[in-house]
Parts: sequence; structure tokens; C-alpha cells
Amino acid sequence: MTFEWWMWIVGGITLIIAELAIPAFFVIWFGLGALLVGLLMLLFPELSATAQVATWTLASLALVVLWFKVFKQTFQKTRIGTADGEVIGEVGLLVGAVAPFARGKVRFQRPLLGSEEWVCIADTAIAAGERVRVIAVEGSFLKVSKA
Amino acid sequence: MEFSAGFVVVLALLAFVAVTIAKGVRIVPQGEEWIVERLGKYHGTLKPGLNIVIPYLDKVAYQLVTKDIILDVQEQEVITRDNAVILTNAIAFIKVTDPVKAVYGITDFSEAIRNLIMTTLRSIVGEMELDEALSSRDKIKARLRESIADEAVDWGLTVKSVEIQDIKPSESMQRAMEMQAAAERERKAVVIRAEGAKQAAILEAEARLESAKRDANAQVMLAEASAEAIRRITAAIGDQTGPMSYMLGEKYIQALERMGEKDNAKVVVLPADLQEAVKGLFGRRS
Repeated sequence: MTFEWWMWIVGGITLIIAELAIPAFFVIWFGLGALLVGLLMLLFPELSATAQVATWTLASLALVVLWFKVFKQTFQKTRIGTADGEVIGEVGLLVGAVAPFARGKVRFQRPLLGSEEWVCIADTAIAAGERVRVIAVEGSFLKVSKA
Repeated sequence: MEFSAGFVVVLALLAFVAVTIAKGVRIVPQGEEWIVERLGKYHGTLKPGLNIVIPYLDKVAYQLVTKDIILDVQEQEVITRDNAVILTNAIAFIKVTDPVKAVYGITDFSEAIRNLIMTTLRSIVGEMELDEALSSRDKIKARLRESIADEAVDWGLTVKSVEIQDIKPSESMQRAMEMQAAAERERKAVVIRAEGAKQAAILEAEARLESAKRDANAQVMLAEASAEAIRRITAAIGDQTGPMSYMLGEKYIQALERMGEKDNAKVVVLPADLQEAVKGLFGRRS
């Protein structure tokens, strides 16, 4: 079985285009790998088929690894729609004192999760009138700590 | 064409790499979070964006939507405390705030919350009178939210709001209420009409009383005038009977004349001695 250099180029481009159809973000690396093999074939036309496929495999793997080295789960542009939501970190005013075993009440300047006032819980006792920060959402209760 | 052993091995390696990467790279769209299980146990939650899992070990077990979920609570019949049947349905907005609890805490949280809202709504409205239930949606809403709160914690959900969409009496109830309203109007109409009649009667009686008073006054005044006239004539005449006889005679003759003019009195008998006849009217005083 012989592969011509142009077969690799065409195959590579096809794979890169296929990435658009299958948005899985891995086909593109195989396409780029194929392009690389095609270029290598131009320089060394005597490459064996085994070597070609091996190069393709290694090149693709290397590109994927490289990509994940470069790519980092950077900050989210928006937290809307995530489970924690944009609520975490919001500062509100405690209108009802909260203690470890007593629920309090916290009020926000603008409605949060569909309501201005929420029943809240906390690990430490906080007196009414303090500013508190939301640290977690637990069902219909907000967990707060002193801001 | 023949395959060397090396070529086949490399080809197999390529297939392995391709499949591994395909299964290992996971792109989670914004608005979703995926639950990953490693060998059947919960391992982690994939956040939106590019994620890597280890194929063969990890499995994306659940794909959860973390946007607000619209829950349509179907229409149901509710019996109020005063035994009236009303139809209500509601709409709820919930949000998954803890994907792990939402997945492992309950089999189907949407169905659970929907049923919970239905039963809670029934119990809240069941404690109310019909009129109260129809007019206090806000109260129902607040209590609904309160009662669902405890379960919501266990299931990692936040109930953002529950709205009563419709709250209306059942058809037979509606008919009865309409009849009641119509009867009420009719009662008012009858009362108003009766009041009108009463007012009219009173006014009429007052009018009669007033006119009787005036009639009486008129009679009294007439009598007084007659008395005055007689007094004056008496004063003018003094002791003499002549002028009186003359006046009487004149009147007498005038009366006779009028009698003569009538068609049905053809025969008028005149006394011959007119003077004596007039005198007789005085009862022979002189």
C-alpha cells in the first residue's frame, strides 16, 4: 500500500473540515498531523507506509498533548447558567440574625435568584445589620459568612 | 499488496490513540454540567468548556441542564374548606444548584418537584375558604415556596418562584356563583322598587293631609267671612225689618225666576201674599 504526498494533504484538509461537523475538538489534530506527514513526504518521498502512519499517530498525539499544555481552564467569562450561578460572592445585608442552629434572613439590593430576601444559614453567629457574603446555595437557603 | 507486521501494529496504535482522544476530550456547552463516574462512583462534575476525562475508567453518567427549568404544573381539582371545587394550575421555575444532589438524591427531580407542588397546593388551598383562595394568590405563592424549601435542599435545587397560573371555580361552581350574583341583584331591584312605592305612598298621604288642612282653613275663613257679613248687615239694618224683608223678597223672586227658567218646571206656584210669605221666613217675629 502506497500513499502519495497529496493524499496526506487532502486527507488532512478533509479531517480539519470534518472538525466543523463533529465539534469534538480532536479530529483537527489528526488533520494537522496528516498535513505534517504530507509535508514530510515532499521532503523524503521514500518514507515507508509504516513510518508514515507512525509519524501521523505520533504527530497527532503530540499536537493534542501540546494543545492541552497550552490550554488551561481559564476564568469563565460569565457564570450565568452554571450551578453555582452568579450568586456566589454577592454581598447582602443581614436583616435577621443568624446562628449555627438558627436561620437568619438576608436582603439584597437587587433580586437574587428570583427573590430579594432569602433565608440564610451560617457557621458562625452573625448579628442583624451586618454585611454578609454568599458562599453557597443550598436549596432554598443561602449560606453566608461575614463580608 | 501486503501488510507488514509493523504497519498493522502502527495502524492499531493509531486507532487506539484516535478512540482514546475522542473519548477523552469532552466539550461541555455553557448552561450544562456533566456528572462523571469513575468505575460507577461519583468522581467529578464537568464545567462548561473543554474537559478531559480518562476513557475506559470514567463515564459521563448524566448531562444536567443548569439553566432555569420551567416546570408546568398541570391543572388539578382542589376542594376548599367550604367544600367548593376549584381548578388550579401553576408554573414553577427551578434551578439546579447542586448537580450531584440533583442526580443522586432523587430519580427525577422535575417530576418530584411537580408532584410536590401539586400536593402542597392542594393542602394550602384546602385550608382556605373559596373567596379567600380566589383573592390571595400571593399568600399561596409564599407558602408554596416555604413548604418546598426543605425538599429542595436535599435535591440540590433552588425553587426560584412558583406562580399560580390559574385559579378558577369549577364549572358547576361558577354557575352557582353566577346564580348567586344574579339573585343578589334581583333582591336589590325588588328592595329598591318597594322603597320607591313606600316613598310614593308617604308623599301622597302628605299631599292629602296638606290639602285637607287647607280645605279646613278655607272653610273656616269662609265661615268667618259669612259671620262678618251677617254682622255688618245686622249692624246696618238695626231694628228695622223693612229692608230685610226687601232683601229677602228680592232673593225669593230671583230664586223663583231661576226655577221658571228651567225646562222641567213648567208650573211655578207663587204665593199671593208675598210679603207675608217672606215674613213667614222670619218665623213671625214681628
